[in-house]
Amino acid sequence: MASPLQNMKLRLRVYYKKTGVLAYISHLELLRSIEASIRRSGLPFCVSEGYSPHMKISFGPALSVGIESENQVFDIYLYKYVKPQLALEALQKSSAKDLCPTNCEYVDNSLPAISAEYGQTSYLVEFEANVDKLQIPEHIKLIKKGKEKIINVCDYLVDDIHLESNNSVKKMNFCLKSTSNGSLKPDIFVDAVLKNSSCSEYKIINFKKL
Amino acid sequence: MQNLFQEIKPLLRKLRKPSRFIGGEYNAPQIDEQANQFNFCMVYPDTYEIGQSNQAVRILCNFINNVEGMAAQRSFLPDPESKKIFTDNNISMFSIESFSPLCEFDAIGITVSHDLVATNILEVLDFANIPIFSRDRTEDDPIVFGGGPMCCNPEPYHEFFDVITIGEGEVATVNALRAVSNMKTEHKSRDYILRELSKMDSIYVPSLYEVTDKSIFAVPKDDAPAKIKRAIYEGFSDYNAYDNCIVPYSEIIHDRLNVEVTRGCTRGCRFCQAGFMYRPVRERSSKNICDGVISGLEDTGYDEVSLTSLSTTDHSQIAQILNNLNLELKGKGVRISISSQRLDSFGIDMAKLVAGNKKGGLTFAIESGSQRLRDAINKNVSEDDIFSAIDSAFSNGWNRAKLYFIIGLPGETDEDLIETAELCERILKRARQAAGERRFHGVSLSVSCAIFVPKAQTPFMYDAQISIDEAIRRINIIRHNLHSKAINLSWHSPETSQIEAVLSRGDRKCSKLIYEAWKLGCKFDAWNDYFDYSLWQKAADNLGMNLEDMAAVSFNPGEDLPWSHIDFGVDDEFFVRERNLADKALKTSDCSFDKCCDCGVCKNLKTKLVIQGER
Repeated sequence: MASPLQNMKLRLRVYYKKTGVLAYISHLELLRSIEASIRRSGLPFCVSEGYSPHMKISFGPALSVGIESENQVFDIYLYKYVKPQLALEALQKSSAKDLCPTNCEYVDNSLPAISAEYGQTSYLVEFEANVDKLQIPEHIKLIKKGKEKIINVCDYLVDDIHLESNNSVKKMNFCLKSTSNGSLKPDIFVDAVLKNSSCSEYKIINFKKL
Repeated sequence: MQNLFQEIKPLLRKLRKPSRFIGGEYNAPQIDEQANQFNFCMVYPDTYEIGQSNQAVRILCNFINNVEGMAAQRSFLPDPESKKIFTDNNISMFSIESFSPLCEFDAIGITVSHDLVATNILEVLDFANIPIFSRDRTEDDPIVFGGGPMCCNPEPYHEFFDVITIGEGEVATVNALRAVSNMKTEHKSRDYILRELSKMDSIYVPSLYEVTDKSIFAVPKDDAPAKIKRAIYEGFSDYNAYDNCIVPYSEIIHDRLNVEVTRGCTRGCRFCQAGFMYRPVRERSSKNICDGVISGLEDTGYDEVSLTSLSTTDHSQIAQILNNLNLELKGKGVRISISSQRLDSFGIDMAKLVAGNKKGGLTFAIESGSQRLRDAINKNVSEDDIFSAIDSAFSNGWNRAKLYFIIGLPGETDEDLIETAELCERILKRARQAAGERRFHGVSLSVSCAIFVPKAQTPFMYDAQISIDEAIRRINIIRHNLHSKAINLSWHSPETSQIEAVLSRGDRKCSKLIYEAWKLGCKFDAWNDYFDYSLWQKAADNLGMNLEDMAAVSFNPGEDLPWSHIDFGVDDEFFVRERNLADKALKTSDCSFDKCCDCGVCKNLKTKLVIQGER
């Protein structure tokens, strides 16, 4: 059953953070949690038509398990106008503090889908201890579904990695892009960069696109 | 208590499903460490996905957290691979709110909802570094409580639990914990605490009882009560139908809002343990339920609600409840599901009411295709009831239904089994007719056959279970008489059913069997990938026991039983009478619809029916 006021469809873009322990929930778990928080918020969300009505919501690209992020994004469609500030407060009230919306704004319905927009993502890595012997590999060997796959790093790495200093490093910046052939997960990349180093503990924070 | 999060954090990336261990869910309680706080940890002996949906965990944690000075946390077993990562890093079992080791809590409670978690109970104690046997625990160890359906016959577990709650825990367990808290504040010894607990209502302290040559059931060593009476939560009907519900991040089984609409069922099916464990019937009012559903959905953000009870469609106000909910939830994309639809109360109206929003699954428990056998087990369902329910369901939009049967019931003949298969075929034909020509090919039936497990505290507790070979032979009769491809047949494993039968009516010897099986590597017996019948057999061999004999033990109706000291309020005469009526295929009425059948519960436990409207 479609909602009664289906003629209005306002696209609200919500920015949120995923930090702390909640960095460890998977993308699928995240989607369900966000949907539940939207229902709790009482916002007038649009429901799809047809036999199995569900919330109209679209998400940005998936974040790997263990990656924190200060700004992820989703779009929901509302059938009634709610002031962005009030919408944000309602959402914050119905969210856990580590999975909380930080901002929201209405965007034009004609914009392309979110997933198309966020092709490049920038990451900041903080190491547990100072590291040395960092090296950008040319290829990374992966085992996916029992098969070996070779990834060319230059297909996904945008520009160079940016180090805090040249010798003993605590932080590292880099940007990865996703292509139609696939993507390189940031933690896989960092593990490969750290291959010859003594450090293996780090925290990755995902940034807004460049 | 310690907080192990800093040690656990670096391991999270290596675990299969880290979200099982981090807690922090929406509506999870905030546990602050306070001086003089009594810390209790509720454990479900299986993974988070299975345990988190358990209502006993939810109810007891809520009740305990509402008591000033007490805090309840949760803990679940990791899958074996994850457990190894923890133990390799010297981390013992911890709670998921404050990441505290279970062995540092004042008390822990393990809910035992079915016998196949037996070895997992030992997994929990072992992983938690708590001595497995009650007799080995010292003053520093938590008091280990047990509860749940295992209380119908707790004897196989008598060595592992310090205390067992018999019956509903809302008041009985909470009172016992309050007493433990007071006694600990007064620095009383463990022995003193257990002895005082044994004097409380509905509390069984197995170590204060023993089995002698003179009786098959345990008798008190000193001045503990000879019989322990089942607890009934008298406040159930009036209590809010919605109580705090944690919303997990992970996908758990039955991931929806649960609202308990009724407790108890007195249809009196003679194989059903739940019917005797929770009687008499106590309904919540329509207003309480509807308010509970609405506020529960607002508070949790779930898009599905399940109205749960042992037979929801029997509720005297069910039509009114469903009508109100359908109106309130119109257009919100919320699905209402009903656990267990009784065939004889699932009429056309009911089908239309539940069809209103998104449809949940439909399950009908028919148990047997033979009317004679259905009468013998007191399953008051006629073929008219069955076909009318099928007509209602399939003409109102359902395309699939699940049918439950039991194989191996006392008095069953091969002809009964053939009748079962034939009934399924006739149901399919009827379903297709009701669905109409356009949906003909979309109609299918799932037929699931369980193997009869005689359970304590039921009229069939005197009967043997059929052997594994016999179970296979009977399953094959049904298989060979089912022809349509639109009927999917599945059945429970006869081996796991045998282990269930061994434990459900086992005596104190069974605790040695459970321990031996666990030592040989048995765990997660309810999971197909882990259950290993050969290890159970080896355990039995090592102890000079025989699994088949134990499952096939039979008693004369009325004689003493290994659980006779556990008093469920039902007169022995009633069980004997029911067993005899079964032989004659004669039925007994349901007191919530009809006249009293004199089972003794209301008189013995000083309680009564609570029906809101008219059934």
